[in-house]
Order: sequence, then C-alpha cells, then structure tokens
Amino acid sequence: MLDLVDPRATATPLARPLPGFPTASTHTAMSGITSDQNSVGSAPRGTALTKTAWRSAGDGGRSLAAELADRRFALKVAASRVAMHLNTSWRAGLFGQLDFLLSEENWEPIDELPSVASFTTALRLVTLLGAVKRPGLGATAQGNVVLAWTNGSQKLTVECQPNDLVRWIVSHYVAQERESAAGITTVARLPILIAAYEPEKWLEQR
Amino acid sequence: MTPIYKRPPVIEALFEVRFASELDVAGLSKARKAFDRRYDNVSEELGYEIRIDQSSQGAKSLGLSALRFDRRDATEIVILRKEGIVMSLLAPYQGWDYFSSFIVGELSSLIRSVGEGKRISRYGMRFINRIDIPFVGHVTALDRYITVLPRRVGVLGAASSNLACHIGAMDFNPYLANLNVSTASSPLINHGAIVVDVDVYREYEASISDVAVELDRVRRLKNEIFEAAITDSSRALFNA
Repeated sequence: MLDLVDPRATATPLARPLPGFPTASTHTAMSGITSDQNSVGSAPRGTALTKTAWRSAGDGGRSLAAELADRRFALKVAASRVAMHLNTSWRAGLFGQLDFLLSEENWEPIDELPSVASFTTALRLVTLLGAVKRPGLGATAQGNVVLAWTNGSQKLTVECQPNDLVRWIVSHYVAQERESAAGITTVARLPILIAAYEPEKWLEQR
Repeated sequence: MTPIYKRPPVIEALFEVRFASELDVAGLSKARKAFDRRYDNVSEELGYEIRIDQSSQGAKSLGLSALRFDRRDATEIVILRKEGIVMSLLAPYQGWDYFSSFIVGELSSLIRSVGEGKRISRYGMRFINRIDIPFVGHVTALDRYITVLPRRVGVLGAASSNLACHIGAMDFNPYLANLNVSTASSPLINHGAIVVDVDVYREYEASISDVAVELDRVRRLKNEIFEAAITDSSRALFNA
C-alpha cells in the first residue's frame, strides 16, 4: 500500500519531485553558482568545470537596487507556490506591499533582507488562516517577515521565522482594560493560542 | 472535453524551443532588444570556467550565456539561451487562452530578433501540477488521488510514504511524452502533496513559425495524460 503520510507522524522525509528539464522558477538564483552542475569539491584535480551565475543586467557589481530586485523576485516566486490558494486581489495587494517595503527609498541598507524561508512561514500562516484581512507587512533587522493585523488600538503582531516558527504578540482590550500576551510557537499552533483573544476582530475581512 | 478547474493545480506552465544551431553572443544581444520592452527586469547569466589544479588562476569568464526576462509580479518569465528559449508562467494559472497567447507573442518576438529562417530541433510543453491533499488522520491512500502507482509485490509491498514514478518517452506519434509523479511536501499546513509533471515534446527540424500551429494538439495530449493520471478525488480538490 502506498500512502501519503503526515510528516508529523514519521521521521521519513517525503520524496522531492523528480528533476525534469530546467524550469524557469528553478533558475531564481541571481548570484552565486547554480547547483545543477558538478560541485567543485567533487571534481578531480586538473578538471575544468563550467559554471554559471545570474546578475541583474547593467549591474556590474551588486548594487542595493539589484539586491532588492532579486529579493522581490524570489519572494514573489515563493508566493506563486501557493497562488492558487490566495485571492487574486489579496495577492496583488501583497505584491504591492513587497514592492513598497523592498524599494530603494524605504529600505535601510544595514538591515538583512527578508529571507525566503521567513516569507514561506508567513505564507503558510496566511493560507492556514484562510480568507483573512491582508496584514501590514514589515521586516526585522535580522531578515524576518513581520505581519501585523490592527483594529483600532488592538493589535496582533507575528514575526515569522524560518521553519514554521512564529513569535506573536497580542494587544487586546477587555472592558477597557489592556491585556497583552506573547509567545513563540509553530504556525500550526498559533490559531489555537490566540483563540482566547477573539482573533476575528483583527483577521476578518470587511 | 477538458475540464476547467476553479483552482487549477498548475504551479508552472512552460514551453521550450531548442534551436537547431546555437545563437552566438551577438544573436543573444540582438534578441534582447525584442524582449526587454515587455518586461520589467532583465538578468544576465554569465559563464565561468574554473580549473581545479595547483596553478589555478581563478575563474575564467566565458561571457554571456543566457538572458532572463521577468515581470514585476514574477508570473511571466522568459529565459533565452544560446541553445533555445523557455517561456514560463508561474501560478496562478490563468487558463489556456492566456498561456497560448503568451507563447505566440514570445515566438513572434523571437522570429523578429533571430529571423524567420532560424531552424529549431525540438519543442516541448511541460505542466507541473501540485495536488495539495489535506491530512485527515495521519495517512491518506495515494490511490484515492492518482492512478499512476508502482505495483508492489512480495517484500516490496511494505508500507512506504515516498513515491517517485517516471514513465518516459511515451510514443504518441509524432509526439513523445514523459510523466513524473512524486510525493512532495506541501506549502500548506496539515497537507501533503503529489506532483504530477507532464512533458509533451516533438523532435523534428522545423521553422519557429511551424510551432504555433501545433499548440492546441500538444495541449490536448498533455491534458489527456494529466486526466488519466488523476482521480475524481483530485478533481474535487481543484474545484473546492
């Protein structure tokens, strides 16, 4: 019997898709040596290896503008993997936020660019939450994506870290008394942990 | 008749044309002008030769080997190499009319830049589909969702969570086709995934303009293969 097994129930990793002829989305690496050829470490001495590397056209070095463009592209390609589960206008709005966040005018060059791994966690969270209001989008100096849903002075903030980890902070009012809570958990557990704070007041689409 | 799905599982739709003879760097540069007006970003792929010996003087540049054009929303990507061109649409798949217009438009740009006389040796259409399957309990039988499964006999019948199945060079004269089916991790929480990768191609010498008239036939075959590989449970997921 061949089964699809929930990885939470097994230590066996699921197989990766078979490689076919190169696809466009596998060519997203804009710099560095592509991995589809022999690695230098495995080559015998005296061998000549041919390698390739992508760079933005007209950019001899690695300018900030090129790095921002590369990262915007990589994050949008990551979003394409769940595009069939996102509303079209929601996704377009998200891309507008990425363009704004990762623009030369708004980006602080000393910060780490948001990582694809962190953004993937964010995408896993929003697809798990379903049809929710589009959150505010930010990033930490360490390259983690931050999602923020606000309702007046009440706020849910989630820092998305690689590998499905999230750091969350709730600011919530009960009978005009401010209550706050925070924690670190996995994407799958977050809806359970914030359930006590009536999350629909932040998340519901209006 | 091909079903139209509410949420097509296509994660990438590609069309590739290989040239009978390689373009040179001048040809690539000329072709660039025909494409870059339609795209927001252009990237260059540079080749390097690295010698592994004690007298190694570092990497020697081999110059421009490919150009990549992409849109601001990263849904349309064209990679032009000396050996050929790959046109790719990423999800969300917007339907056949959109995809075929995209291919015809880019083939026209290619003809304008390399000339109508440029010969090709192969073209192919590849659709990579991912079926996201919600876990109900910890185990879901794969045969509920796909029809292409290896036969398990004797000691090979032990339970397994991994599947990678390749049916290569299926002969649908004049076309050939490959089908790859494999399990994969899903980008959705509490889901597993099956990737169904269909590649239909034809190897013959022709002109670029000969390709456009074959698109519908290649699409029909690609759809027949995909529909034969999936079950109604999968179809229900695409329409949920």
